[in-house]
Amino acid sequence: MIRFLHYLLAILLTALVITILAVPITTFSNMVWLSSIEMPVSLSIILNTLVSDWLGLGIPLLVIFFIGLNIAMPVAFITKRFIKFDHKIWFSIASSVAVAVALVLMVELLFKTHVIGGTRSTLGQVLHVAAGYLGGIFFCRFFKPKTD
Amino acid sequence: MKIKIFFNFFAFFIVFNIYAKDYKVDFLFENLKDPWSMAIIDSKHALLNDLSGKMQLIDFEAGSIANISGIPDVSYAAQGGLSDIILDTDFESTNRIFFSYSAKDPKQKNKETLYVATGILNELALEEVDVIFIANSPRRVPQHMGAKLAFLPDETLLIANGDGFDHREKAQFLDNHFGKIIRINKDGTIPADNPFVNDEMALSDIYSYGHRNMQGLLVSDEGIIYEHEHGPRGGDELNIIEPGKNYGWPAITYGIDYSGAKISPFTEMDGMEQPLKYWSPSIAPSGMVLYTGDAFPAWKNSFLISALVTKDVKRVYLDGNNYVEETLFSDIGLRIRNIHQTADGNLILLSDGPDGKIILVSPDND
Repeated sequence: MIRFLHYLLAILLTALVITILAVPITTFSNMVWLSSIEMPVSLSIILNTLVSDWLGLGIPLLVIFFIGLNIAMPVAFITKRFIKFDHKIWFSIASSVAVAVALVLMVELLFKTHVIGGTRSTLGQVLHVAAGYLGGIFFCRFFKPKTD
Repeated sequence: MKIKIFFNFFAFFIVFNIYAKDYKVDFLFENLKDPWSMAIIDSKHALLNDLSGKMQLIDFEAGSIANISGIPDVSYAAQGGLSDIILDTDFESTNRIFFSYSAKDPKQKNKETLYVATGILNELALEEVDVIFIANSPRRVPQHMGAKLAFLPDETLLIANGDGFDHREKAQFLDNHFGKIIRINKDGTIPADNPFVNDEMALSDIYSYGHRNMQGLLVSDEGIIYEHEHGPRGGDELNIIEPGKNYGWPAITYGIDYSGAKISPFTEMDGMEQPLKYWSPSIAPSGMVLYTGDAFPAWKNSFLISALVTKDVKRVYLDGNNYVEETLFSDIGLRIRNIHQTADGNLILLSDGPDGKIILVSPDND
């Protein structure tokens, strides 16, 4: 039971880590564009917007990533016995796949549009998946899944 | 005791008069598939565009509705399809109409864009159909099409083309039609006095820019252009459109993204226009008339703006220096897709969706 609660906490914290890393991608993509058209983007505006985005965009993203990880991680646990390489990498891949699938589904199910501003560029999509990968590394360090 | 009865009666009288309706509502037609826009021909007839691709002739007196043939294929998906319809300025002599629709982009067949075509109505057939404008705004799905049309007093045609949702930043650049109001002649040529004709970096048919998803466009008798557009979460706007002006989207906005992120922290900037009025939270304005009829004298010279989210009509009028609003027809309880004024000053509302309705609102003289 304690191990299961530990697992749930790990999933929640992993979703939080991915969210903390993913939100600035949208914030900075918006700020970079605004700067490019000579809007007066200052450091304080960036920081204010970042905090606002963590609260505004962060909460729905946290929920989405939490749901995605709750599907991806059990699948990773089941399939890891067939994997020859480092299982920690396998969980990180699972985490990044969870993010990628969530992003694809958001586009396909929500009017075929990119509701998350930071995912409209290829670079933004890659960075989101990278955030998912880093979240997987955190998951392994926090939960320490058995690798045998 | 008598005093109590008196006050109860007084209270009832006040409440009754506040809620007493001075209009009646008649459902003229039902089970229409996504009715989107109407052009009223005379007191008996009107043309109706369904987003699904059907153009229909309505006979109010006979209570009949008949399909018109000869309509081009449209991309009926998301917010796209057969969209606005307006009569030529000299329709009585030409029988010509103008209409907008979404269809495959001619250069990128996997994408959609906005078309404007004209044709001559011959009873129940549209003939001599001619495409006079294809927007340079290819998009994966027909979202945020705008697609509203209006004539200026000089008989040039205004076309509203939305930002395509995923292409919002392009609304700030003049090399494309995303988020633009476009002005062309009736034959598709470009007027020589358009604001950007001498700008080599700009498309010369652009009239104004920095728009999002325009859903209301009208020209007053004085030639003033009024437009309203959807913001994202909040930030719906009512604007006066002037040539060459930048209306700010998405560099300035009173709304935030649907995701909860800030699109821009700025709400105003030099060189970018402020709205006459904005709505946060959004009402999703969907159509607009500047009421000029006599049937509802109290509403004369007011904007009547239909709304999808709030399922009502907003009467917006100038009170001193401020635009204030009053909510009408919320008792109907339907998402109102568009609003039109008939020749005798009554109002016609189109309700949204696959079970669309045509609703007549007239004074309740009983």
